[in-house]
Amino acid sequence: MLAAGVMGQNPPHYVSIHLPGGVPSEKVYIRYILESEELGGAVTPRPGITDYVISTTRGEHAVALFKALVYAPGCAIQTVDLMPSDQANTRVDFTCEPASSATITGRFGQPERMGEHNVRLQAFYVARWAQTFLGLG
Amino acid sequence: MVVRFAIGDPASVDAGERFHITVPVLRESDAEIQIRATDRTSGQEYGLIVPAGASDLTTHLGGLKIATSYPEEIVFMRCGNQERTLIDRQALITPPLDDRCER
Repeated sequence: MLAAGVMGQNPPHYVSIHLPGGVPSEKVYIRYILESEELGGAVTPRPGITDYVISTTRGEHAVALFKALVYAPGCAIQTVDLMPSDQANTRVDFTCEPASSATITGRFGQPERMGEHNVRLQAFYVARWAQTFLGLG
Repeated sequence: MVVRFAIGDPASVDAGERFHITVPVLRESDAEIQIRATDRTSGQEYGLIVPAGASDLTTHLGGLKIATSYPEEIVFMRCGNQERTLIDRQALITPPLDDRCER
């Protein structure tokens, strides 16, 4: 296992999110939250790894709740909702369910003149539903 | 706190003011697509671009709806350049234009 831990070496209690072959680890997005947290965290993507390890340790025990949203290009979003235990760490297999794609063909109106600049356009997915799922304030 | 992440490859705008962005079709309920423009050289932020007056393509917060396909061509404008008349009938519950543009 080539793992990237959010806290360096593997903590006593953790959830491991395992990536299947063919999914570029540096392009994976993982947003997670632990029990009673307000903000949670996001994994920093790294190349060449097979597992993202996220600590679920609080004090000497595992937290009671872990939720995450996992996305990789070409795949559908996978949600994770589990209750970690002190007895065993959990491995979650990210399953890449292929996502279809759609092309947005756009044109700017005359006043914008964006074509005269070296403009970079980047699309973002705004998951408002995830606020409820993750319990973010 | 909004969960937002980049999808699809970055696109350029050609001399004819046109562009193409291919995006995955992700969960559509309570979600939207935002497109952000930046200057490749200076990094200057131009902010969000939004469909111009195409209310059937936009969510009530101004983003592009998730769809399996889109019209042949959509006219966009920079957020903040919209005329007040383009604000939909939910104006009373829609955030002020400048706030919406920062979401």
